[in-house]
Amino acid sequence: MDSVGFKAPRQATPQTMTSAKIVVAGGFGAGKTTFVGSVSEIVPLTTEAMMTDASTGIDDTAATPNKSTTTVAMDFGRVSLDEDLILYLFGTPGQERFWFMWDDLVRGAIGAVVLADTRRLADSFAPIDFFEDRGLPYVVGVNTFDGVLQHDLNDVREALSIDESIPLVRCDARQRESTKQTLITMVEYAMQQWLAVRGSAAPKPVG
Amino acid sequence: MTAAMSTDSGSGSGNGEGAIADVLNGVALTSGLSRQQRGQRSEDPGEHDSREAVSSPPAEPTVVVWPGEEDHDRSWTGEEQSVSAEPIPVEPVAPPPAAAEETGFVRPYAITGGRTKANYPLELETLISTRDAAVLPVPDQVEHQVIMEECRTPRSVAEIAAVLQVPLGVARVLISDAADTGLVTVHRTVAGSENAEAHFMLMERVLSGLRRL
Repeated sequence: MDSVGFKAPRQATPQTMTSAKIVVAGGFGAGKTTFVGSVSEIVPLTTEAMMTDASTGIDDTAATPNKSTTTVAMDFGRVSLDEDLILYLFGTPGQERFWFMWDDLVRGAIGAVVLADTRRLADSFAPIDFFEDRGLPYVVGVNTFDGVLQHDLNDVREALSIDESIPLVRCDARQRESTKQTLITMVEYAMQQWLAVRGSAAPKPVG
Repeated sequence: MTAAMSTDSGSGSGNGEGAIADVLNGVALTSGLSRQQRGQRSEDPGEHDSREAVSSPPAEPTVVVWPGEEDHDRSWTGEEQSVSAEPIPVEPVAPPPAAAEETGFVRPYAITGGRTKANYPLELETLISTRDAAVLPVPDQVEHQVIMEECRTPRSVAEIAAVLQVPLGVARVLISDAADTGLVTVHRTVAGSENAEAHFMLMERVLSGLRRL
């Protein structure tokens, strides 16, 4: 298609848009999608990272056994924080074989929320390891299903063997307010970390 | 970032690119049909147009190599210097619109003409918006029309991929093309590692935004 002669004016509205990203991790059924959905202004969307079922028998998978014929469900939601600022929440794909996607996820992210299900605490180990390895600030949200906290938070911290400096909060992924608070905790912690790493030379918060 | 890197990366045949992409699209659009039907299509003289020159021997039904069957015959397809990593089945270019109604999907490599690289740093959250020009030439690729429609309000790369129902890598190439053509604007993404201070400012803005929610 020829577009000769077409002079595109710079878009008047919206001027310069900015986006930010927070990763939401956790084991299967830990409540990632619920968490994202409780603050998202859109029904959480899903991206595909792999080829689809339709390619079965067409694309040659024999040489690439790791290439799955299933689609990846990476849920994400959107929160407009300002006229020119949109926050995206990305739920991590649960299955470990999709870890190659995590690089895309963490690059440039503010930080991560690891949702822990106390019934399956071991599911939280892998994401925690990953974020620690990458130096991505994270907080742990203990999802209280049915509003009941089954364990003492200190016990959970011990079981996860995470440092005391890492925020561990209880949250109810179904509650918008709770999700919001968890995210606030996460961003505050990320900013603290930023200052800690870069020292006092950091710019003082403006305004 | 430059035009030099653009559409024909990986092919080496600038002019041939569009035509080969058309071949790919034509192939994919008919892929939902049974082989028998496709055999019949190949015999239809009306579909042998000039672009056929790109895809070497005139396609008779007997020599057509279908995806999935190419393993025993890679040497044959290898002669064609394909732009795609996938072997290109040889088939006359079919008029896409009619075939499109008969099939549910187009394979990703066909949509991108076999390319995998984008010319812009497109993160999952990078925002794309349609350029604000009242009358634009209608893009000839359906995906570009969808992108333009979707991005009238800024949308992220991830959202576009979700709406198009294509893998992220494919969405990136499509968005890159749309940006090269001037259909959409790619907004700058604040990446933490590159500009630490900008990243800090962004966190501040996100924090106050969350508090206002």
